[in-house]
Order: sequence, then structure tokens, then C-alpha cells
Amino acid sequence: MNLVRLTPGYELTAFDCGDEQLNNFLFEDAMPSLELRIANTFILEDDGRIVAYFCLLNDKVSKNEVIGSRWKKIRANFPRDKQFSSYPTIKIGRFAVSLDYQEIFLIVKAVGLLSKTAEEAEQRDMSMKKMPTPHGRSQEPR
Amino acid sequence: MARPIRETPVLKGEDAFNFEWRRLMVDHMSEEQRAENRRKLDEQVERAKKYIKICF
Repeated sequence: MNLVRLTPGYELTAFDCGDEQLNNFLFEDAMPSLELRIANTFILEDDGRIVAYFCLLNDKVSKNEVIGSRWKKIRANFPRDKQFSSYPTIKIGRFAVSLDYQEIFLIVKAVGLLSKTAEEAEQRDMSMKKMPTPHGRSQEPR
Repeated sequence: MARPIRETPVLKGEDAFNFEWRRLMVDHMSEEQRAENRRKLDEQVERAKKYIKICF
């Protein structure tokens, strides 16, 4: 599989993720967004077929001034030059996976989650073994 | 035309408070923790590169 960036010369092939809005974005809005320098779209392709795409754009998280006595107490502990009204971010504007590949993505995600859960459980077991029991001995392995 | 990408809303009230609170309460990581996180990230990227070729 290749991960490519959408460029003006790129020829889009068929893509259907089951959501008309997301399909339309790729064919109608992705290129204008690139030309206007609003967003960059990245395409995952497999043998010339579009597997998935996502689009990234610069963004920011803004907030109104936080007021209130509890906030004043908390804020007093932090340097003033580290407090801003907005923070830069990168936004995932669109993310879509082709219907032909959605099942594979789900399987990969499930396997990833299972292995992560197994890894966490193993680490938990290890730390439990190190913990002394009320009788002063380490816990036996399960 | 597809639906435009929504603007990120400005946080207000309790949301703004929670955002600031969580941001300020982030634990400062040691050099070792940062290095470990970097190592994990590099490992995941290398694993992904076995299946995906990045062409840009």
C-alpha cells in the first residue's frame, strides 16, 4: 500500500465509503481545498485503488476567558507567560475508508485492541506479583 | 458540494475551565519518559512502514 499526498496532477479513481458527503468531499472539495491552501488530503492506495483518505488542516483551540474564584486560585500557581487564549492544533477534517476495506480495518483495529489489552493485563500481572500481600509474601502467578 | 468542514467551536464556561485545568495539570515528563515515548512512536512507525510505503 502507498500513502500519497493529493497533488494537482493526481487522477482520482473510484471510491465509495458508504457516506455520500465523504465521497463528495474527495471528488469535489479536496482539490479546491488544496489550491486554496486550506487543507491537505492524503490517500492510501492499494494497486491503484483508493483504500482510504484523510484530510488535515491547521486549526486552533480557542477559549473564552475563564473567570471565577476557584479558577483564580488555581491559576495563581502557574506562570502568566504560559497562559494563552488559544493553542495551535492540527485537525483531521475528513477520514474515510472504502467499503471494500472497512472489514479489514475493523479486524486490524480489533487485533490491535486485543494485543494492547493483553499487554496491559500482562503488565498489571507483573506489577501485582511485585506487590507484597498482607502476609508479606509476593502474590503467586495466576 | 460536500458539507464544509465545521469550524472548531470556541470553548466557553465549564468547557473552557476543564480544558485549562487539564492542560495545566499535565505531568511534566522526565527526559527518560520522553525518550521512551519517542522509542515507542518510532517502533510503531517502523511497523506501519512494513505495510505502507510513504510516497511524499
